Amino acid sequence: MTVGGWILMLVAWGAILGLTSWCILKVVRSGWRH
Amino acid sequence: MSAGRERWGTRVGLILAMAGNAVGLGNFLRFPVQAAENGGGAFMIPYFLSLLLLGIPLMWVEWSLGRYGGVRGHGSTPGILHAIWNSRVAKYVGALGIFMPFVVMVYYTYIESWSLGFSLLSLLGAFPDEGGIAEMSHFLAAYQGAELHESSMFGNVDAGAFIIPGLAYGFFLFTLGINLWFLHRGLRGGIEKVALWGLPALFVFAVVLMVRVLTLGTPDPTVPENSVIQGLGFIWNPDLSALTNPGVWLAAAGQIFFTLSLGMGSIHCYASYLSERDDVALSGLSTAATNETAEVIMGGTIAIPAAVAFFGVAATTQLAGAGAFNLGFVTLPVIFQQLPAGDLLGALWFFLLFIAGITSSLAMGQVVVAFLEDEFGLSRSRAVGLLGIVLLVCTQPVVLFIEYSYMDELDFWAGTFGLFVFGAIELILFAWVFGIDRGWAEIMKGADIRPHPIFRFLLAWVTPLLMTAIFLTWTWVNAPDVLLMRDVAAVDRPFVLGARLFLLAALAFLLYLIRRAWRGRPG
Repeated sequence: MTVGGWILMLVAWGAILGLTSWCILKVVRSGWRH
Repeated sequence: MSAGRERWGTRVGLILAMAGNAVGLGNFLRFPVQAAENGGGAFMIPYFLSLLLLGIPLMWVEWSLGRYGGVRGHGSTPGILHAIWNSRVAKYVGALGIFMPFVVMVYYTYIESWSLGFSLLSLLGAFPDEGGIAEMSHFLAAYQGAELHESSMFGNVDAGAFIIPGLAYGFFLFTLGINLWFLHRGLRGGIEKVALWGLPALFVFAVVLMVRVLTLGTPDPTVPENSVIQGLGFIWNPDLSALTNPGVWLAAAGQIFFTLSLGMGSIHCYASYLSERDDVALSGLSTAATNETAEVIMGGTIAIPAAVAFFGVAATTQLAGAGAFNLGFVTLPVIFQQLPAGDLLGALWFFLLFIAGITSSLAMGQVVVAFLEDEFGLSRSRAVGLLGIVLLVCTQPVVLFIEYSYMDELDFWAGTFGLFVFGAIELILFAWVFGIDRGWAEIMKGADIRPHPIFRFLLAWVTPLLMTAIFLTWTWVNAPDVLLMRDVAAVDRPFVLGARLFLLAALAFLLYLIRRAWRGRPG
């Protein structure tokens, strides 16, 4: 795997995990039960 | 009418049900093949751009359209489009949002039952131990009834021109039965419960399989180039020259469209069970983010890297070229057979696909149930019963003509082409007929996040133009070959024509039902 491949994979994973975690936090804070 | 409609029990249940609708076989099979075939890591650039410009805006549109219709007592798109567009044809245009989930469910439930069947067969150690890809292909064909097999395990019946697949038929009846049972249990008692248990289980299974694949290393030390790292490289190494190819951009936009289940009618239906002040902005974004986690992180790390580690880049290119379906149902079982506890890993893999499948098929079934409940006043039991009878009848040709491209034809028109058509239409109606000012206000109503105003501009101009361009280009590239059956073998043509007749008949019957439902109503 090339350096470019590693960078793209880690950036994509980071972006998606970051967005998902942010969404989970927001949903929990604004009320996940209602 | 809206006072008696059901409601979701919890917000997390709704988000997981929506994510379950989106996460399907495509996340684990179609995505890695698309990425590998379209420039590897470079594919992710148009992919993420499509997510931002097309996927997330359209997700918000469908959520807000669904909530808008639900408040007015409509959970399916004929009623929803009629509510936003004061025209006699609106409800007929909305027929597409029932037609597609119904037709897709006709064959999807059958495929879903294969996942369940293969999960159990793997657990029982029934897969062939030797013979590799060729023997596993025979095993799959025998299970499907596409060919006979010396083993009596399949219980296939040779019915002259066709083979009735005994075991597969049993699993199909069982799968259809549990789909109907969960639908009958209702929104909270059925669909939401399946999502609350199923989605976390799916993610746990996917993580277990990811860890197993990532720790494969180099399975055969005498062939050091066949390793899991090379497999990841096969998907992620960027071939930047691919970015100059319009086909790559089209493939990326198409993948975003399919993976988020946009243009289908099922997101509208689930969102129709929200209250007027319930948030759609954060919930819609959360659904998209959950789906992307399953697709890019999990889907990209299981099938293709495992195939490269065992068979190398050249063979994997060939295997992937034979179709994403073969990758999941033939290649992966062969790989798992070579690992310790392989039967268990195979069972986990197929059960993961089954969960991904059932959470999607329930969403499709609910669209039809909602239409019958909302527009004809049928009870849930009667609506589910009717759906079950019609599905049972309509799936028979899919089972019998599996080797004659009948199912592929249904999939092309309802599962691919129709999504683009309906996606483009609903977006134009939302932005230009309902009006972007009202539309944007609808998205912002009760929102727990404030989407950036740039999305308002995107929704008004960029997304509709992009959507129309994609639809026209895609049609230009694909439709002539399909319409004229250029790639269809002579023996398959009567069955392909039969599939088209079925599609026309189903659409005509649906239009008739809509006409009846609106008899005596204004518009």
